[in-house]
Amino acid sequence: MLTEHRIEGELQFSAAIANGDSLFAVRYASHGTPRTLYYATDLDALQTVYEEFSAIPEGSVVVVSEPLGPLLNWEAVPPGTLLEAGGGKVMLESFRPN
Amino acid sequence: MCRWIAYSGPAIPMSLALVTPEHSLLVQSQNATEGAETTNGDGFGVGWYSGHLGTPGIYRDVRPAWNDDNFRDLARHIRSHMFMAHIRAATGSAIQRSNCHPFRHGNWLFQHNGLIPEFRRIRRELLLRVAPELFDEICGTTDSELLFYLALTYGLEQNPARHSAARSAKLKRC
Repeated sequence: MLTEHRIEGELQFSAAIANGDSLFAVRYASHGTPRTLYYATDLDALQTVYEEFSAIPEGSVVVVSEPLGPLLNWEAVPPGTLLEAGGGKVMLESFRPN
Repeated sequence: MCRWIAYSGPAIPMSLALVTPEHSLLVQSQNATEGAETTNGDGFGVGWYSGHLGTPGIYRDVRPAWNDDNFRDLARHIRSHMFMAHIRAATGSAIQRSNCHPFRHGNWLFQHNGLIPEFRRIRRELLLRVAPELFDEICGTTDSELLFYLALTYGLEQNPARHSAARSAKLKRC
């Protein structure tokens, strides 16, 4: 439709979708660079500084537009990616609408 | 644009991800460092699954997140195994509660950072592609909510995220 209407701007789509069992995140742009997205799975590093974080157990996954701080090992979600998180695991796959 | 966070794992007080971190979503609402805008003060929202109900709870409002004590309090007192939160920097749609993320349909939650270019020019055409049985649930005026209902129209509930989000993102056959 964007082509049909000669709209040259880029569709930007960094989204989170959940159903209570699985969490999905998409980082996509029709062209250009999509909005940033990061994830972290090992939250232990925060325990040393933020005592409250000692309550975060293993198997946690956090997906964010930008990192929550410098201590965690944040992984950038590559452009054109679908991330699925559930059961403490993260799966990445290519997301390229055809 | 906007900023958002989503969590999946063992149940934790939501504040541990939303409020406590050094560069938490609350901090980002006033001082985002990687977004198109530094300030995300056009409303906020949080959605969470609580275990005893299939459908998620949501709490949204149009004031900036940093000005809402209830947001901090709820985040401290609600434990959840899956939740998401969003701070908004509007791209043209009105500042109203129904335009705040996340959006909810049944047991599904959706939040978005991005935009459909020249949305107003193609809004009506896109709206007409939403399934009739879903149309009445659209409460707001954002491109984000419309993308969610297009994903639902294209089978989000049957084909989690993959298929329907792809079709929505591509605006296929539009």
